[in-house]
Amino acid sequence: MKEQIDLKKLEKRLYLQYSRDGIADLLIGIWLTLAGTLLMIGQPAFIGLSGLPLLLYFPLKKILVVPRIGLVNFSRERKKKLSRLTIIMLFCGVLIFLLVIYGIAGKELVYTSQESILFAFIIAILLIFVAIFTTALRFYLYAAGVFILLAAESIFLDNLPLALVLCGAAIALSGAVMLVSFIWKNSPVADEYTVLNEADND
Amino acid sequence: MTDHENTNISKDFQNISKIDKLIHEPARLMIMGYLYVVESADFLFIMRQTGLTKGNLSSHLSKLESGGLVDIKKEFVGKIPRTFLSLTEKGRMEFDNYRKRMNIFLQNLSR
Repeated sequence: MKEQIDLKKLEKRLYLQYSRDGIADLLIGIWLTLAGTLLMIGQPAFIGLSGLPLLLYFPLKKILVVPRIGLVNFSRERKKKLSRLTIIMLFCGVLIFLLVIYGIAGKELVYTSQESILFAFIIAILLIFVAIFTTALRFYLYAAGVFILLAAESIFLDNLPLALVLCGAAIALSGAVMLVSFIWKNSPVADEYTVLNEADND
Repeated sequence: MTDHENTNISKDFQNISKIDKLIHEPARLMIMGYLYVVESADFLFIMRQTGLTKGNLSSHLSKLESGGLVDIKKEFVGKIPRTFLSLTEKGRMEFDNYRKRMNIFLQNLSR
């Protein structure tokens, strides 16, 4: 039994190492910042477009991570988890979109405290799911931070877009710091052909 | 200690000689361990994780491949050649056996 736990730990460590590049944090942060900015400048109809940066996840991973630490295919169980996470993210995205549409249709762009708390709840749940499925504990911290900030906003600030921009900027900044640190620590290898040719000459 | 217990202990000790020496070497054990917990990985990933040099890893992989424990596939991702490594069915089975044998041996050692 103990040996199984140790191998699971090894798999988890590999996975965490592979996802400790900050790309997900950076893109989720940019998504929230863009959503907040669109609400701030009075263009909520385009909020669906704010999720577009998330599409850059795999290309960025391919450009920045693979040449540095290589490519790995994790277990099928892990892949299933990621597919479920994608579905949940889409579902939350649609919920947020509907909430904004409801806001547009109902009145001017002023959100009641209940709507703000609902926003906070959906985004926090989304981040908790990211934490559960990726086993990256920092997303729990983001979820708590977002919920507290958006809930506090509904009481003190009454400015949901600004609170969203602040949350997004904080998460994006944290992701950017992680990404710079990852790039700093792991120098890229030219290509595998060079690696193997050098190996033959060793 | 009875004669029966003595015989059991010596049998447990003798079992260590049945251990797969191809896997038992530390560098190869590391490679097998990493490949066991993933579906497949490329040469660079295993090299980064194990901290082995390119030549060293290459030579250990050749031995594991000739023992039928590791499958090595060379593919092109775009224009870049990549070597993908994965454990074969036999490799997984042998690694499981190795773990069981070592576990029993170490448990008996700590009695």
